[in-house]
Amino acid sequence: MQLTMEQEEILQGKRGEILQQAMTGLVQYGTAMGAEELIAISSAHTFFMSPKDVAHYFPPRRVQLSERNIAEFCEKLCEIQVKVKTTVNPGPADFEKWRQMGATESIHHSLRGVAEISKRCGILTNWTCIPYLEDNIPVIGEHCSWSESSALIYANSMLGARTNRNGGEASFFSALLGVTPNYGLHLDENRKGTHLIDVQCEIEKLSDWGALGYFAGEAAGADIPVFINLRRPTAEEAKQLGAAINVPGGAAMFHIVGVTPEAKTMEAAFGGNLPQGTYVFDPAAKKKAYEAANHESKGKVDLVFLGCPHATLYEVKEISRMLKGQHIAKDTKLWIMTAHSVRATAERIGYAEIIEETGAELLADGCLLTYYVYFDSKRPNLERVATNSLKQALGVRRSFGSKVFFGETQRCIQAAIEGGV
Amino acid sequence: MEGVRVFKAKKISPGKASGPALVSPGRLGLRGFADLEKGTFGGGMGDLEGVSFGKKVWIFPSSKGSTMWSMTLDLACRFGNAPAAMVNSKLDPFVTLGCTLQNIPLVLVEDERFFEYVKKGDLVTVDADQGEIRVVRQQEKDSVFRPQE
Repeated sequence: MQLTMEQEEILQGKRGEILQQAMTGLVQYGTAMGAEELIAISSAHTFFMSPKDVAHYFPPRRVQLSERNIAEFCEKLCEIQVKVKTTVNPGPADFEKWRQMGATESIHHSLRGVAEISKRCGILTNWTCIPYLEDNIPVIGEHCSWSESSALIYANSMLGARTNRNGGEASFFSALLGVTPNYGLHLDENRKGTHLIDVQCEIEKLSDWGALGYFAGEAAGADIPVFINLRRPTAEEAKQLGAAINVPGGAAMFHIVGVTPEAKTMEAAFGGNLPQGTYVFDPAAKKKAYEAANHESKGKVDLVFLGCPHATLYEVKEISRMLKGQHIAKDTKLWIMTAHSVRATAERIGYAEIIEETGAELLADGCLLTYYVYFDSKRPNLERVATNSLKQALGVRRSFGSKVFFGETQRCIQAAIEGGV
Repeated sequence: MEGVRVFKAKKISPGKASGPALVSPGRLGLRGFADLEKGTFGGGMGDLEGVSFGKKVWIFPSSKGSTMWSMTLDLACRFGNAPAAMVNSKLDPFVTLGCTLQNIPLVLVEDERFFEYVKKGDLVTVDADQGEIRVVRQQEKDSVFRPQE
């Protein structure tokens, strides 16, 4: 890999050990992926949930660092500022309502610790998986280094920004160094569509977009699906589409002909290539996708979860409208997960009050899937979960063995009010 | 030698290591798919459910799911359950990042005959630096390298 003089100096350790380790990590990763250089980025979206996570991004590998090692590392890290605009994915719990999520004092302590470190390093601690709607909005052609499969696919496909599918370590190193390996979706030739998805059924409800994404992810795998005969999605719909594509697959980009900036026509989307396959999303395929996400869906519901990926302010408003004046069933919880900036606005406008009067919780900063998998905390009863998110539906089934109802938002809310499906 | 096959491979992450084959015909997710402390795959993993993954050679097309793939691999390694080596059929950023950071040899194999031939429990040596994979089929009675599941 060709490095600039400055990058070479960092690699040799002339700017300190932490930057040296970050550069070593990026150079090894980039070389393995076939990159010939590092390119400047102006935006990073990274991932960590505790000081322990951050410390373990760096050597020594394969050891459990002691509390003292972690604290010492973080002190050194705080002497460095991130080089570019950097936001961060959801943490383990709600910074305010952590008790409602079953977090222990020690998890809360860890949360405060990681928030402090992030602040000192200059990271915009938005703790959300939808940075692209508020805090970190790349423009067309902008090179980024993002983690979070549902976010990075949105940045590439809806905004025309350029990011690869980066693991948390890579986006963190990039945030510190302001560069990323130049391969994959940073290059024009790798942004062409590969698989044609012909949509031959109604796509109306939010959950339909999840079902379509699941179908496309199965078809295209790690490649780039191109949708035709599909109407322009709203931001909320596109968010569900991208999140679901990455459940069975690993695509970092899709094209919707007439919507994706680089796909004004089908010819432009494929860039002269022939589709590797054509897949028709018809009513039978749609039914099959819904069946894959539902599992013993009928019966008492313990938790209704909305906001995967995080709910937008508009979604919070719509949910509050549907909920107004209702009451959540006694033995059922309704959690709506969002970014804390969205919750703050919802509180100011009054949506939060409407939601909470029903017995539902408007939560922020967290993620059900990472939280109860990685942290020792008391999780709510998740025997049967209802959700409008396909990613969440398959996630809770896999991680917690939950029975799942997956369907439209209104039916999920009805399940919360009636206590079952 | 009977029962030994050698396949060409492309180096992605350097090194050489051996272990029993762990084969996933489908893309492999990690977050939420495994008990990292025990070092076994979890429910919903079909044939891999309950199978221990430490010190084995993981053979799978590419990754799927969460960008926590490499972080999840790191956790498994910290619990002492690092895989020996990995073989993919498609270049994958999560797997590459995880392997380069953890010094796990990773190769890419384009020859479909490799994936048709290799079976769970075969003793596989991945030599990324030489660009080669050696597969030794174990005899039924020879239990030395047979997986413990």
